[in-house]
Amino acid sequence: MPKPGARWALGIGHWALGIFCCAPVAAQSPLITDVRVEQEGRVVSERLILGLIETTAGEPLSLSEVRETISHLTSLNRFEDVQVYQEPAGGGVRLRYLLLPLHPVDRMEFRGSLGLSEDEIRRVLTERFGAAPPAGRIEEVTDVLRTLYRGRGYPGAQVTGRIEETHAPDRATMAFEVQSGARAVIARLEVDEVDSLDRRVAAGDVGVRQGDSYDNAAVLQALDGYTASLRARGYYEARALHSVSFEPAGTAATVRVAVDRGPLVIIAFAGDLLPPADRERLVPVRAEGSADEDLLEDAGFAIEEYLRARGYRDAAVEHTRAEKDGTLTITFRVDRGARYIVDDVVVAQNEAIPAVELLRLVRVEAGGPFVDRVVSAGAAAIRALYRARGFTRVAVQSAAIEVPDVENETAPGTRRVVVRFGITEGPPTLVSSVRFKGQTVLTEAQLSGLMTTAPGRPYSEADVTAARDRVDLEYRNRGYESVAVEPSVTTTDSGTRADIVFTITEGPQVIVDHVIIIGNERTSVATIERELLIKPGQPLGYSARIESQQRLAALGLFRRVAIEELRHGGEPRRDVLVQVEEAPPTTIGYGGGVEGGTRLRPTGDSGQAEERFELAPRGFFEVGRRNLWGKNRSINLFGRVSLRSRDIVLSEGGERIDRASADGGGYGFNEYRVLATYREPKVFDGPADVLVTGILDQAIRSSFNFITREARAEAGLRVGPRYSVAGRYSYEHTRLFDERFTDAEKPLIDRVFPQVRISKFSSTVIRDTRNDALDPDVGSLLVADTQLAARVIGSEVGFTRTFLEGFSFYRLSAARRTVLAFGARVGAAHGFRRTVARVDPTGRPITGPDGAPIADVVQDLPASERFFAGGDTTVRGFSLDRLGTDATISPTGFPTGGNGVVVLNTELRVALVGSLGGVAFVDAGNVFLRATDLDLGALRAAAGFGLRYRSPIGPIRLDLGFKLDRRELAPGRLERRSVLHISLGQAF
Amino acid sequence: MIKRTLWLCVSVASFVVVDASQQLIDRVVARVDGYALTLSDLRMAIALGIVQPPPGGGEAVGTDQLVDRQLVLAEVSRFAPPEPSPAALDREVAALAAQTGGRLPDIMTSTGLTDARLREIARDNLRIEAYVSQRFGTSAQLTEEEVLEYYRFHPEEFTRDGRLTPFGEAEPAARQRAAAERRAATLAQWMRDLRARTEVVVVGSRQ
Repeated sequence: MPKPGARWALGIGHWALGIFCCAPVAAQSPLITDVRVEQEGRVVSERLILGLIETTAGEPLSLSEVRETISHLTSLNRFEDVQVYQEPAGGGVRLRYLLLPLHPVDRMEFRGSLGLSEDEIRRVLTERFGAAPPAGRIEEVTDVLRTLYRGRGYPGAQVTGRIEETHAPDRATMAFEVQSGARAVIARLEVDEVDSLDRRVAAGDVGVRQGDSYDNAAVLQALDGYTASLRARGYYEARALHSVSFEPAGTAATVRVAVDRGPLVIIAFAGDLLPPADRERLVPVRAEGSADEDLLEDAGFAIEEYLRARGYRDAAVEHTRAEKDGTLTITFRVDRGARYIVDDVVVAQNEAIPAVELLRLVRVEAGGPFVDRVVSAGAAAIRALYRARGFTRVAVQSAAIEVPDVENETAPGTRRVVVRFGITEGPPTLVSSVRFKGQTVLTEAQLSGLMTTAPGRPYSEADVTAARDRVDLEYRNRGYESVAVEPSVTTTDSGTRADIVFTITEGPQVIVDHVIIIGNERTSVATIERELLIKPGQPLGYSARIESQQRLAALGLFRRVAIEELRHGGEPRRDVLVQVEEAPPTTIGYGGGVEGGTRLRPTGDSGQAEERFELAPRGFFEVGRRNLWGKNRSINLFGRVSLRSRDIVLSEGGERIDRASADGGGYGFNEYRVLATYREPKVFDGPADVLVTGILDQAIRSSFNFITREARAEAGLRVGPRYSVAGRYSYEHTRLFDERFTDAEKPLIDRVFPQVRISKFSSTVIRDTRNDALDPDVGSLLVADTQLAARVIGSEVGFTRTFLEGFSFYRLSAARRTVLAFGARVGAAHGFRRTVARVDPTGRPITGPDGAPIADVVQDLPASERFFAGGDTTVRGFSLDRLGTDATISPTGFPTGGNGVVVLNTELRVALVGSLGGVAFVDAGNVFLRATDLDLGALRAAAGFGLRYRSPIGPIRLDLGFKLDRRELAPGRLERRSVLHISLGQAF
Repeated sequence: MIKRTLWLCVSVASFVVVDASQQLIDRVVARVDGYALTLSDLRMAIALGIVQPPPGGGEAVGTDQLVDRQLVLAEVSRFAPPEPSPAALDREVAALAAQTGGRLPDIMTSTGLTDARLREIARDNLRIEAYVSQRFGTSAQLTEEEVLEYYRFHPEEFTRDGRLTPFGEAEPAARQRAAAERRAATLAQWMRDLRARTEVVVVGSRQ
């Protein structure tokens, strides 16, 4: 036992501590009386660190626990060393953990007389080592710096590097002291240039000058330029090398340049001609700067392949070299032979699988060139399909049978062939048994449940592989990370029966010891833990780890999320290190664009509707703050404004005013939207997210403008990966203005409630299986939304409104992205009856001849809640809101909206070139006065085409729609035949 | 600047002043890609013969060998070889125990080695062996010229009683030794490559 007493000694003596001069370990472990953790003279109280200490006061000292603690602490990547001391105390021992912090390099500094610019030095080192190289690489970094100086003409540069540690925070600077010395000047230049026969020739201007400062990079660049000029003259194998020697003082350099021109190379072609445009590509002597035999041989193969891909199946290419007087002539003799064209493709002797199905696998087409490689690939695809169906002994042979040209119809040099795939199916192999060996964790029933094959089914290698993968994954999800599942198959009865045995070597199960979360400065540990499916004491599952990482990334709080396993102590227990790098809490976004579409505008004294194409520049600004109080709460403010043309509107007196002439301007910021959102995720620790939103919205519609102020609270919940539900309450106030129709034309509800207060509840159910929300090519989206507004909850009008939407997307071709998209939207609404006393402009009740107050009975929805259709996202042959039956279009041609709507869409989307795509569409739909009026026979149709440009922010869209039946827009005035739309995003 | 200097002084003082009554029981000797190798790991490895520093080689050589082992283990984990059978594991545990010359209980007490850890070390040994055999084979395939070259450059190995054994007679032995040399060189290069792409920090025993 050590002597008691506080004898302090300088630790320098401890530098020499050997491996066996540590504490003698008692036969019986002493009790731990106290555990202290210290760092730089301070007692550590950080919860994360204390939680990783495995040794506990009152317990016997265990060296394995000490070692485990060191592993935990080191895994934080904050400590260079963790030293553990024991000292006698109170009949046991006191443990002291001394944490020596890591000082990661966070910057480089360059001092002294640099000679070169600091930016250049930093750039060179950063490219090689990063902005903050690890301290352990300082020697390597210093060597690179010395090489840089020598290369730039400072042969005598003195460079020394050292690490300078700083504290609070614990960081280090990699500092370099540089004395560059004088820069060497090229005092002597020797150029030696020879031809292919090693004869000295007059040297050209190599671009290096005596008297210039020596710079290795500049010399290399000059020599590259010189060799390029030689290659341009046909010396394709020209080489230029240089060496440098410095005078002892380091101020003068001698540069020696050796140029080997090589032969003058001439490439010639004989026999059948190749297109000149392809010769350089197929014979890349100039590009490669070489005419060696391997390259020429490859060029010959490339030409043969080029010709065979075009049907010249017997193409042969030979090359010869002839060197004379320093000139190398390479001649490619091309004999392309006859061209073979596919006359027909047939499949023979197939019984189990129809020919149509087999031919779909073969990429050989009648009329196309016969290409051996493609035919062989087709035979392999047929063979693979048969094997997948249990025909393990199938043989597929392809043959090209020449068709006699009895009527001399075939062009000279061309032959026609029938491609025949002859199939010998052999007997099908059925699975006779599936057994398992070596399993102790999963039962046979559990393993059978994972099988994709079963006795009685056709034997398929693909099924066995899939079953093996499923068993493997199941074990990995239970923490058996080194599991091995080996299937073996024995066939019997002449290959008609297959016995499958899966041999399972389970290996040890890995259990999570600690979950260590680092890097979160603002985000609470609870917020991160909530997303983790990995828990201490539970198996370390493969899928749980991946899903945890995805869930953390989906929070949107982090730039980077990494989940690592940390081995320690050898036992199959692992710490899991969750490293996050937080994203900036404040986000700012802004942008602009332009929207183009056709709208209805009143014209002339009569105020008749006319369709007019308008462009509306728009801009938006968004600022957000996320992760409020470390709980992933966020707040966002979004503003958008559009610049639109002002138009002729009706004044309250019924007279028409041309806004443009009245205000002296044609455009105004008359459409805007401001939206403030607060999001509370997982409210009350439940599964739902809550969104509180305030909206101020002014919008220009075809028949009226309106301004809305709305407050909304919404609770949303994802139910599995496909479904989500939401319930919301909203309170809004809407005022109509600048209506395009007279009081007489105006629906009664709009006359009675020119401004209306609506209080409503609504709910939405969504099923979304699309692969991309912005531009899907697979999947579907179904949305059902129902609203209820009632006077008992503070609304001035009551109604119910239901809107159903369904969209479906099918990828027709993967090679050229071709998508068929369908959409259907149906809306139905019903207003609750209400009696309202009629009042004059001063608000006094208007009485009838009998002196009794006149009352109006309204049963409609206010304008802001009614359905409209027509425009770039609904029926594209019509301008915005233009659709309607006679009952929902005013005499002047403006839509009044209705309580029922139907919109149907079909669109074919085809990728054209690069990011450009084209669409063709057929749309139909209409708006009906009452929901009970819905009539599919009364739909109006439009067809058209458009272009899409896939930009980073989504497709930019241009659509031109044509009405399939034109009608009168207003008496004597026909609708426009076509309507152009310019917008962002797909139509649906 | 004053604050920084003060910090430096406090920190250095805290490093270098240790109560003499305290005894170091464990510390980090190296970090391999963030994984800590401790002094007790080193003592355990030496006792079990996993690393074999030459006499007087001390901590530095032992640490170096332990770092190499950790680098190989990390590689083994990336391309997991087949799991060793329980019987093979039992044999390896017995071999490790035999290596200690009957001192296993003492070693377990002094280093904190547990049965589970011993089994884990045995498993690591077998996996390393399987991986290396799988990746580098048990012997290199050499051409006649390569064997002859080895024979010519190592005449002392084929000289008996002052007489050089003719190549025809010495060829099997020369082939075996040349193959062993080639394999050793390949493994050494592999280790250098592993070190070059991994962050290895050997920690000095400063206090």
